[in-house]
Amino acid sequence: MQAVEPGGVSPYRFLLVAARLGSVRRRSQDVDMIKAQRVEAADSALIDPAGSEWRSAPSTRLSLEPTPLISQPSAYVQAKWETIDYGAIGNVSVQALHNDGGIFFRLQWNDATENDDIRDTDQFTDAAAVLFPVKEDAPLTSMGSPDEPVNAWYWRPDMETPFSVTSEGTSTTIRTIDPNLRGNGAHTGGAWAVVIGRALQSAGDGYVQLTAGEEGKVAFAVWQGGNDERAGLKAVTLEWQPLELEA
Amino acid sequence: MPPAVKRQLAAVFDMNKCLGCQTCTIACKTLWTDEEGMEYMWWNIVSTMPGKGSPRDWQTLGGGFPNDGDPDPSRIPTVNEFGQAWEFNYEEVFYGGEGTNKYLQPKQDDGDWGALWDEDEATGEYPNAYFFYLQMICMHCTDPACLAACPRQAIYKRVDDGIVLIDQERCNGYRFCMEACPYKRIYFNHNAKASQKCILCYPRIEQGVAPACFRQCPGRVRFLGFLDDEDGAVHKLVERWKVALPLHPEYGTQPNIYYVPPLSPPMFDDDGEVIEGSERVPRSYLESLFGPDVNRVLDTLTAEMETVRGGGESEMLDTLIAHQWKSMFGGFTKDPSTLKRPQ
Ligand code: SF4
Ligand code: SF4
Ligand code: SF4
Repeated sequence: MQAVEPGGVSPYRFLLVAARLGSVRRRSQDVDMIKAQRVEAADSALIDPAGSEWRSAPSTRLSLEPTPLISQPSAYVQAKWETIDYGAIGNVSVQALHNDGGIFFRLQWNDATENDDIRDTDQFTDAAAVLFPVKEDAPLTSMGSPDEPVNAWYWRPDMETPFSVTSEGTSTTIRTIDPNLRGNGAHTGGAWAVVIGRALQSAGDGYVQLTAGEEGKVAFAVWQGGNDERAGLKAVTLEWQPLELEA
Repeated sequence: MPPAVKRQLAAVFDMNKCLGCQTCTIACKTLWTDEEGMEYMWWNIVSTMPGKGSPRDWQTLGGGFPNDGDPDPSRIPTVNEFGQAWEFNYEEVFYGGEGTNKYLQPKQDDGDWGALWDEDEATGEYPNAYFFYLQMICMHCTDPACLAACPRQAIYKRVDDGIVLIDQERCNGYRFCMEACPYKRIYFNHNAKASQKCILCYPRIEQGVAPACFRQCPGRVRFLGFLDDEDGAVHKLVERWKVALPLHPEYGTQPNIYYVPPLSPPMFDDDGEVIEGSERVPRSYLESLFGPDVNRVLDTLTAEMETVRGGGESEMLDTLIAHQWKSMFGGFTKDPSTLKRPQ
């Protein structure tokens, strides 16, 4: 598995151009600073995607790209999805707020189909994740490496709480329940609005630790359940986005 | 590359002895799949053939490695294709005083399919109609397509006996295995949100007991043993006499359940006379299931039966008849009532 060079250009970008020529959705990846403003608000207000704090919070629209086919870890998945488009969600609007105790990300994306539960064996839910490097130079495309793990907060509408996912590279993800992690989503007017939040610090093997006044990196992923997207079949920000927590 | 194993447990199902009683099906159900989220699961099912099987038309869905080892894209069967677990109006009929007015029926719309929808439906016209039973469990393949498809390596093949298992902790419910398995033997547990299938009763195996569906079969259909155990019935039937064949070998996963193919009754002519040498089940149909080798096997079995009819002896037929049930299980003959069920 090739890693994205720190500060370099993802080798997958060229592969993507080759793989998805003719696709209407082809754009360069933006790298935008995600600023988490500090607010005086209770967790209960911030975890609500319709909460008033979010009305004035700055929003960054990020374009998403399908994860490269060659990075799908099984030959079956590659064979099946060679001819099917995935990564159907083209962009996500991201907001971030913290109240010194917890940090909250609000993700909003257009999705005409609400896939909020597994009603049959062949159905998959919509989902979203916020991803952090646990060590600064952790590679994004391979979901970390043994020396440089990553930590994701993975939200799904059919689950009570999000999972904390730790990963040291493709196929190594482990899901754990982090009692400090919360999520809340609503599908209205053809769009999902989802808030995923956690205490800035949370004790757990491979969990990311965040501190007000400091900078870090963050990435996002969205799955279109109506398109059978799950596992590595998803739309992602191909680069880490810089993250700044207001002091 | 198929996963390496030291030994492989295998089974032979003698289709000629199957009664279609589904005792095996219920043995598995009561032992392993009686919990919430597993209602529609039949890790063991006995389908009437020619028929659509379970899930419906599974033989047309693809999967496996039929083309030079390349994975063949398939899809996930729906609950309706497997067959819903219907609720029946037992209260009404048995206890509600309606027994003479109402008949036993599913409470919900039964759709147009069930796991045994076409059970005992024959093909052809009286008096030459025919059907036979096909016993299905996970094939514990030598090259499991399910294992290869899983992006999480949640499926593993045990080194000591080749049993294929889905690690319920690692399974994230992605269901690529359900697509990739060409025998469509994997189910999705809607409660656990994980994929599940026949475990070849490994907790029994580990304690020397044959699987429930083997042990409880009143037809003595099911033989068990290590493929390399030269004294075992399985080795003799598969390797020495070569009268047991894999189902759909062209799927490329090298299944470890072998079948003694069904012999046919003869056909009748218009006057009701037996047509000597005729067979009701078309060889072409059996070839579509077991490959061209099925002709050699049926001829061997027929010749062996002739020998015995003529007063001769046949170790092969004695093995298939299984005069002593303990001869069937390759040493896995311990009494299950001495075991504790694992939690
Ligand atoms: S029969 Fe299917 S589920 Fe069982 S080992 Fe083979 S591929 Fe896997
Ligand atoms: S071997 Fe055990 S788990 Fe498998 S079908 Fe038979 S009873 Fe069920
Ligand atoms: S395999 Fe045995 S238990 Fe199952 S249906 Fe046939 S005879 Fe009955």
